[in-house]
Amino acid sequence: MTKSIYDQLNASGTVAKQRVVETFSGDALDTDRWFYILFNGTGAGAMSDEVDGGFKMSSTATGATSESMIAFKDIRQYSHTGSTWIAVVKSTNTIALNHSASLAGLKADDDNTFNGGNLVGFKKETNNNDFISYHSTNVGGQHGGATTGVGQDQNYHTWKGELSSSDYKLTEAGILRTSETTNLPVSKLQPFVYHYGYQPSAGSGNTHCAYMEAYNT
Amino acid sequence: MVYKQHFIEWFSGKSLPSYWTVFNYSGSNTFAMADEVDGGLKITTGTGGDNRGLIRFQNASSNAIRQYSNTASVCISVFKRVTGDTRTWSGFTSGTGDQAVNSGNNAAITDESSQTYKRAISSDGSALSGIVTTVPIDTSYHSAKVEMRSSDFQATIDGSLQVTKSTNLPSGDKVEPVFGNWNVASGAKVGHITYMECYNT
Repeated sequence: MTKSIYDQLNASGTVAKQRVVETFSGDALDTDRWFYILFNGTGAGAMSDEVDGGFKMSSTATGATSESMIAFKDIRQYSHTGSTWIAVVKSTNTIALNHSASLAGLKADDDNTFNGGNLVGFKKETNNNDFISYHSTNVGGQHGGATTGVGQDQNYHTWKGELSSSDYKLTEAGILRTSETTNLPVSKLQPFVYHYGYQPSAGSGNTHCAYMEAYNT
Repeated sequence: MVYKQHFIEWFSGKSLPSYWTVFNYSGSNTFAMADEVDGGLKITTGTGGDNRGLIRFQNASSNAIRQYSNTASVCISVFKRVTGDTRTWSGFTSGTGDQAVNSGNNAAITDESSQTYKRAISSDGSALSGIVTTVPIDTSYHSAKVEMRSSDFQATIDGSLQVTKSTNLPSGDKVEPVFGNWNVASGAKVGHITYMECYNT
């Protein structure tokens, strides 16, 4: 007997809320769903011809910054008071980067404003030893960045962010890493993955995403 | 057990996936992903009476793509009607999918503002008929399951079997999913869908 996906995801008799599952596999990013933005510099976004490659955003500007992101072009269907996102992400680089960052989660606008950017996510950046939780209201200066205690590396990690009306919990590898109650977003959200890199010499920084799921709770 | 055809649509992202085809059976209707929490796909009709639009599968040669059995398949959707003077429906079709005409060849669950309860409706090319459920019409999301069986179809709402209907079943041996919205008076009328899953059983 064939079982429905619906019945596996939802308790009997309940009405499913908005959900999306993206597996980032195929010959091109699903541009019906996603919007790729290169904010500045030289970079690219493409499906990766690598085992577990997923979708890869690269920064390649030499002696300069490259910033890029994928999002839903401001179609915001996820609640800032009750939603969850899950992403499998890794950051790699071919040279030592002066500065780099990878983020993923839910965000109000498909822009490169993060401090005051109305978002929740995780963040890896060069000026931290550990991955951090990153979240912000829509006001500059109102953001949180508690350390997860998970040391940075170039491997895939599974991140899960759970947003309620009163807190934001970030789980990595099935273990709750942070729980914070301030600086939470104030409006509806869309999934996003972001990459930033400053390459002092020829080479690249990369953010790979192999899985993204979001749903309202 | 060998896997059978199975399809799932989340209606989440910047635009409707291109494997759907939109149809305007009357008027100029708008099909857009809604920038709203739990918004899914939003169909807004044109303002004229009987303006109606729907989505289903059709290839570039205008051939319908019907991969689900008329006698052994399931369609589960989550949809809602928003406005008055509106009929919103979701399920399977072997024809045009249009609820306003017999050639729609639908087996679907409807929320119609002119009714008291949601209905299971079907059409076979020559007639269209409906059976009322016990679920009152409203403007909230509900799960709607249409199961095609050998000699009837069953309509289940929010996990509760409501209707088994054996008359005016869609013709032919294969069907495709359909979601539509119909303005039965005037003014732009709205329906949303956030989920669609179909599979052969």
